Amino acid sequence: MPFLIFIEAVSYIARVLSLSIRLFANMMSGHALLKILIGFS
Amino acid sequence: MTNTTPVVALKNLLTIANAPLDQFEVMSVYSAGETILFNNLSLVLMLNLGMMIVFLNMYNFNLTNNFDFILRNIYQLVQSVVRANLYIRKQQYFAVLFYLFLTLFVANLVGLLPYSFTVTSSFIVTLFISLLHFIGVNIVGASQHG
Repeated sequence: MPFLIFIEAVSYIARVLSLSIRLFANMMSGHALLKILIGFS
Repeated sequence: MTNTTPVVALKNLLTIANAPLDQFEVMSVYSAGETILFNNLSLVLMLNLGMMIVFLNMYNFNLTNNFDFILRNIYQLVQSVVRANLYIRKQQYFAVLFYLFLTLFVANLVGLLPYSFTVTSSFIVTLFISLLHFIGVNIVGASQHG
């Protein structure tokens, strides 16, 4: 039972970090893609 | 980051970057000593805050121009989402969600301007926003249900 509490706590806290990394990576990749496509023209 | 004069910093900000990843570079605009650092991220964050303050202060309840209709439509959009997804007792947190929506809206709108900087494409901003709301939600939940 303490092991389950530990796993739940880790997954609850890691969700914040992983979602913020996901937003950051999506914004950065979108801007880099736009920059590359502008460079082709 | 090196010490630069504001004129050189402005010239650096307006230079067209060639490599695709040069647009995310955080460069110093003004720095005095070790404590005061002002880079283009803080410049655009101040621009975003100023635009939010100007937007919200320009609102007129008499709906005199088209801008008031736009702002009222944004308000009603967030209101419909909140009413569809939250209990009636939890709809008191509408102001937090409206502030969050307006922050991200203005940040991405300013990022569309040429020679500008999108603050949500830097990791410290997304981490700050997510940690702020995570800690706030946990404090509110623990105080009401703990």
